[in-house]
Amino acid sequence: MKDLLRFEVHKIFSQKSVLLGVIASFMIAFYFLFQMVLPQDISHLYEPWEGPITQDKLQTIESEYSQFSEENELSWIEFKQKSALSDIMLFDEFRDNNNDRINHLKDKLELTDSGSYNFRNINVHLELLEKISYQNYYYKLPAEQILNFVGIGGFVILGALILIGISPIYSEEATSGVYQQMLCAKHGRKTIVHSKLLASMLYVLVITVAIVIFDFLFWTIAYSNVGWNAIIQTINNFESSPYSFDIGTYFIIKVFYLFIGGCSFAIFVNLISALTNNTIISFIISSFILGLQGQMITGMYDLPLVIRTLLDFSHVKGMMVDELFQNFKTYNFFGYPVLYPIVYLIGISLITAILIYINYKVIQKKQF
Amino acid sequence: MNLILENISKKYDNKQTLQNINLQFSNGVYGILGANGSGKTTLMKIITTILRPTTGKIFYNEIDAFKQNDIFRNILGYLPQKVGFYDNFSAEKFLLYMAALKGVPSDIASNQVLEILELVGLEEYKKSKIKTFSGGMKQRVGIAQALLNDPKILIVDEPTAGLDPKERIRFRNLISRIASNRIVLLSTHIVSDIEYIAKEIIIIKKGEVIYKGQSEKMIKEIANKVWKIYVNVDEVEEIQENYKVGNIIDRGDKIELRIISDQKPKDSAIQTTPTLEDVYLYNI
Repeated sequence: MKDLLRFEVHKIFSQKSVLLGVIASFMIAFYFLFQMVLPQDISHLYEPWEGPITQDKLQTIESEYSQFSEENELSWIEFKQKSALSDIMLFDEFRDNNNDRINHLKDKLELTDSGSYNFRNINVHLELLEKISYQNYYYKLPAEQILNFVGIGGFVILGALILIGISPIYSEEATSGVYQQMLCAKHGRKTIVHSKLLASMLYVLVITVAIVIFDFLFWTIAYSNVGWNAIIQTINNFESSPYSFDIGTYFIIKVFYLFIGGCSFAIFVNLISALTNNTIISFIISSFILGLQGQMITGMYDLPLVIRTLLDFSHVKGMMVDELFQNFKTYNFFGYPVLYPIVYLIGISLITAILIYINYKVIQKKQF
Repeated sequence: MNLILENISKKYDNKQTLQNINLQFSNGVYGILGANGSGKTTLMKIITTILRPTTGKIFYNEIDAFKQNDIFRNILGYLPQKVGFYDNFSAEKFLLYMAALKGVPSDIASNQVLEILELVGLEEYKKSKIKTFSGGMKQRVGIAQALLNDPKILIVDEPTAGLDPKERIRFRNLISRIASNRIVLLSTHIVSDIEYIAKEIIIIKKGEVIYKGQSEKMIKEIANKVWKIYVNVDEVEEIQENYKVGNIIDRGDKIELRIISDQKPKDSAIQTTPTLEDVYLYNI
């Protein structure tokens, strides 16, 4: 098994298309990220306000903000200064909003039957919101950029490289004719499947690590490496998130989900490759499925409930991560609410287990 | 040690490729003769468990090939008609990969690969990439991979196709050398591949075994059915339409024809010593 695994890993990584794919992906990513880099450091605009947000600080901020007249055209740095003040004022607004939501939920809880599912669900939401700490404000741009890249950039690069590297995993055996020797060999119908699955997961792990290293290096060189203590509610689209994570913790979670979603997708591509005897067809089908998931998730379609529920457990949701954590969402498990990110892990694990089972069956029954 | 094929049939859609094949093999070389499309490769693939028969079973010393397939595959070696390679692998690396697939422990595999490369005369090319090899060299890598797990059953399908005469002789000698303690099933439509090395010949026609026996016995059975005649060029076509014609040799003013026929084809026909090729032609 260890020897076969070594060979399968070697076979994936020694493909020229993988090497070209890696170079192209990171070059394109570099190009796009480079466009996003601010021309000068703005950390000094936030530094005076970092730490606990007190009423005194807020008054000063508001007074400074009011000095920026609407009529006058602002220089770039003035504009950024204004944005910095606005961010901190928003932070205070979010704190108020969170308190309002907590009070609203408490009111709702009093009106709800204490033995009902709804009561438990509101209670979970309430407990989560109460844990969020709006005490300290931190300048977060570098950490935020590093975090953001893992979502979209990670999904695009990992998805593309899985398609390039894993699509030929079985179809290449058909094209080269090695299937004939493989299928009549002692380990050719079972151990080979373990090896290919493990090799695919190792490939996903290596690419994920490469994405993280690239991401870290790029933004650390471009800016610095600060902002990890800021809470995720200060990030765009996370204002309503009930999770009390700082950016550092969420970054680790995000990388973990990217890896899990990537592994599941790689296993799916294994299956498609085992079902087809042609690398191009395997690539096209897998790309189509990934693209379709992505399109349905990001597009504003009025999809039937069944499809929406299925999409909640799609590879793309896992690899893009953010949608799992942006809002309070639970699933009813025998009358008890379970948080969506946890249900996602259970769901994607079940889907992956089914895919693995079918993969084994396909190779066991394979005739060539 | 017996390999038994019981009522093997294979149907693809509506086409019956193999029909009720019942065969038994013990150690030694078995030549499986048949025209292209006769079902030889399908039979080989079924014995290797790459294909499943529509009906029938295969046993090796009471091991059911399709039920205890891991045990059965452990004693198999297979050289397909078109061997699959990873062109970017060196011969040694490819064989190490095949050894891993066959479950040969890595501490044994390295030495075994070197020994087999020596056996097939490729030891000095072990680090060369397979894509740089000639057809004959590739075929030798093919036989090397088939022998890796020291198989009790070795199945070789059309092994000499595309080889030059020197390579064919070399291959035949190699098979002969390794056949003493295993069952070797060698399918071909080239009679000379098996004429001197097969202990028994099986002739397959349209998916059915039409003959199985020792080559000497088969040759004896057609002892008075092979003829030589000398005709004019314009008579050749007519004779070919009416008789099974083997060799056609231009003898200057006449054409010499080798005819396999129950009846004397012409008064001037001379009876001649049959060969295995005549047996094949007689039965096909």
